[in-house]
Amino acid sequence: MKVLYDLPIRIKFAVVLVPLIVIIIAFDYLQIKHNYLDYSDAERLNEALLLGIEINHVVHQLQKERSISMGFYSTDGYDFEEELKIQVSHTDSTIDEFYNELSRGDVDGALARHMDDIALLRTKFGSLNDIREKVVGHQLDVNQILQYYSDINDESLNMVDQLINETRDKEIAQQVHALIYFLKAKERASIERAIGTKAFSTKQMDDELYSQFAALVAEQNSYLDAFRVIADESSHQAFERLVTGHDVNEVDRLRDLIHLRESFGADASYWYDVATSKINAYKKVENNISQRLLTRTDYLARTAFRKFWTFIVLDILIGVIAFYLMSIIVTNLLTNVGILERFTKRISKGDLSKKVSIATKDEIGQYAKTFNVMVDEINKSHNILKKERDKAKFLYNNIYRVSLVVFKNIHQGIFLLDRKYKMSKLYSSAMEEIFGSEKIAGENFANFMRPLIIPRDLEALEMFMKHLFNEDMDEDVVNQLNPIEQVKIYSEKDGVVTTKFIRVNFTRIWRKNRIVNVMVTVSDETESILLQKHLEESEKRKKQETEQVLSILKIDPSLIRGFLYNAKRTLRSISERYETDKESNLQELLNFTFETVHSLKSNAVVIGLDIMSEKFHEIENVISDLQNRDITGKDFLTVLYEIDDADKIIDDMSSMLKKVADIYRKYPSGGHVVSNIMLIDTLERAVKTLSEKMEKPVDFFFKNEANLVIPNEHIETFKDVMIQLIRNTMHHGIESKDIRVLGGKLIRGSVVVELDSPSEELIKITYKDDGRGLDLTEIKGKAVEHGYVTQYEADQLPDEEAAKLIFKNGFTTSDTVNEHAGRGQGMSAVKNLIEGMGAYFEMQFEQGKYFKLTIDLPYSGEQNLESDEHEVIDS
Amino acid sequence: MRLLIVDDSSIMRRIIEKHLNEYEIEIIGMAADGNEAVDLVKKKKPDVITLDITMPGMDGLACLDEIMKIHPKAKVMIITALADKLTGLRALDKGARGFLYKPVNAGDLAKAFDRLLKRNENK
Repeated sequence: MKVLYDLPIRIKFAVVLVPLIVIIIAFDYLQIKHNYLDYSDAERLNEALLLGIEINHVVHQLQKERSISMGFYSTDGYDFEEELKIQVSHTDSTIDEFYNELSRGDVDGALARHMDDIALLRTKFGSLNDIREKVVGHQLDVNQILQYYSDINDESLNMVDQLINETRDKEIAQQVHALIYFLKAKERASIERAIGTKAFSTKQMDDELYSQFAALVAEQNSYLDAFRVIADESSHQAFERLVTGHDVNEVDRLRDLIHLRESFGADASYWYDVATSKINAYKKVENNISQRLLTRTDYLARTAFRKFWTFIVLDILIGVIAFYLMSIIVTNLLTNVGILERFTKRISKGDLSKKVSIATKDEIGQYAKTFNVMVDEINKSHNILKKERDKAKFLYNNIYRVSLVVFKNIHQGIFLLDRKYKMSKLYSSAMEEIFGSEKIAGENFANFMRPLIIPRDLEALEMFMKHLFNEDMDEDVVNQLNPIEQVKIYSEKDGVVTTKFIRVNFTRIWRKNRIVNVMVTVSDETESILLQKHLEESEKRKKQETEQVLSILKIDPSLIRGFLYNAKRTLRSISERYETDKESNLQELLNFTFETVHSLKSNAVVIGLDIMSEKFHEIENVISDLQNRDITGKDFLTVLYEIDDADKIIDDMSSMLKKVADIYRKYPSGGHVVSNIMLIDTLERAVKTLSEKMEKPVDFFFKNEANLVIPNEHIETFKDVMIQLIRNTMHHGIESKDIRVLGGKLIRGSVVVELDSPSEELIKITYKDDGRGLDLTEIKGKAVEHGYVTQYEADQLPDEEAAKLIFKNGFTTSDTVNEHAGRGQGMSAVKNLIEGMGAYFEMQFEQGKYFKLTIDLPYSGEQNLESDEHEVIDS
Repeated sequence: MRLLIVDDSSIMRRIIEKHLNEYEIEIIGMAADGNEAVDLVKKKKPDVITLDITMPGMDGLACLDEIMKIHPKAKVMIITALADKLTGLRALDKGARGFLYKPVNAGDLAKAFDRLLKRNENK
């Protein structure tokens, strides 16, 4: 069964249809054969009937001939001689017709099986001439004649019986039987006529003949009865119509006479005539039946013929139509199945572009529609998927594009590191700008940084990255140790090497429990760091300004004012000298400038004006650089520039001082006290500052503070004097710790300034330190060295005069130079300042013990400085 | 949680101790130098160790090497004034798990300990 299930549909069709077609053809063949048999049967019957009719005609003539022969014999040749001759020729002509008919018939077909009987019949008919001769020659008696002819007739009727008895049509068969019964009745009537003819000829009838006659009449009636029973209505009517009338009645009457066997009161000829008339009527009935049978068989044959061909034609027609329809349907089905098969194959390969097209509205058509709906649905889903895919693609492209745009425009360097420390292919454009390199993608980050940072940082970076990708290590802990969090790099772009400050931050990127990448962000902080430096500088400047203000507030304004006035004038003198003395030796000019600036610096230091002392120190450094080489006017410009800068600071301070002076002017008395208090503070600070810088611990004492009533106009000068003295003490007077200890002194030195009670005329001020005093030998040596005196003069000089050598301009015993002393400007300046105030001074000392200077300052000082001060303020 | 503090500065040791007082940390010892620290680790097997780098005698890195040999499970947190990052990274290389710059304040120390111990719990 499974084999059947698995067959292809066209084979299944074949399995169903081929046996069906074979069966139909077989049945068709049988039907055609049946029809053909019907036809050939009717045809043969028709032919047999025609032949039978001919035979009946012969029998009819023979019956006549028999009667005439018997009459002829009975009358010993008197009667019937003529009739006999006529009859014989009639008989022979009907026999000839029979032969003609026989020769026309289909001997090989319909009559083939009767050929033996026909041959026998021919023999019988051939023997007729013998019989006739014997009749004429009276060689045969009546019985024998009867016998012979009846034999031939029996044979003939049997023949007819056999010929027409072979039909399958019941109706015809019945009528054939009726006819045969009728023929047998007619034969008996014919024999009756013969016997009657003899009886009426001889006028007697023996018993044997009579019994024969009675039997004949009985048989005749029996056959007629049989005929009446089975014959159809038309035969009945023909019989009733034809077998009637006078002659029939006469035959009955003469038959009654014969039954009586007493008087045969009728002529034999008369009997013969009426009997013949009756038999002729029979013959007419016979012909009527035969003719109708013939018509019937002919009709049957034609009908069968027509039926046979009609069937064949219809059969072929229907067969062709059926085959045509079947082939259309089967072909259509198979084609549709084929289309569906190809379609499903195409779908299975993913081709949804075409729809299946089946025009029929049967199940396959419905399937096709369903398929198309399915394909539509699949296409819809497919389209939705495609749209979603396109959307995702679009989104991805968008995100990608956005990230590219971001990467292109962001000012931060961004890239990813993989676990092999390789830099990602995608990185922000700022990277190239920051590092001045385009070789970034895929580079090992450590190799990339190698030329940019110092080896120690590089080693740290390699170690750092290792820990960065270590999942066990806390990110914050690792990031605390980022060695390039803020780092200076040297990047090269277009051949120009620039220094940059960059900040590099690292952020881990996790996937599940693994660090897959580290995001690195790089920012260029050069600008902000520079800005920060700038801010620091401006902060410093602000601080300077604040210090300036504080200085002014802390220091006696008159001291500052004097200093500023002096400094400005001194600086201006430098510029003037440069202008007028262009042709002179620049080196000499430089030395002059240096000495002048140094002097200003010392003054700034002692009054605690750090801003100015620092500035002047800077100028000194600039000059020192130039002193050691050949200089040009251009080089000197830098010095002038620095001097100009210092001049500006002086102007700034002057304007600030003016504001402070305004305040003092509003509160004059307070201002005076403040000035004197600030004088003490300044001196104390000067000692402290120098003490720290020179690492010589020295204490400062100011005795009788309350007596400090130095007039305003002298405060500045007085302070200058005091500061210069302090400077000298610190530098030359106070010994180093070790020497002081050896000399039995306290490690800490002391400077004492003491004021006597003011008298009306003058103030007495004593300055004293506990240093080493003056080393006259050393002073003399230096004086000789500097060329102030000759060695001889020095040797002759008394101590008092030798000590005064220190007041010479440019004298110094120091071998080193710093901002506090050693420039050789010290004691000469003291002398000049004291004398400038109109005061007197007296110097006392003991070598290794102390140095002391007493100043007598008169109260009424000169007023000319006052106007100069105004000048300073106004400038 | 048992803690060993290793620092040559007594003030620093006290600061760490004071800051960690509020936590459930039992301070099982303090060492002023590397050798002392190694002895204490041998004897007491602390869970957590705070370790200074700059110390007289055996310095922090050498001490860390020794500690890792004796007691590899110890969680070591470096607390140093040394600004040099390479040294810090070397300490991580040798097995340190935490890092903190001096001067420390209570907040930083607490955060660093949270981090160190949380990591511990996760394992």
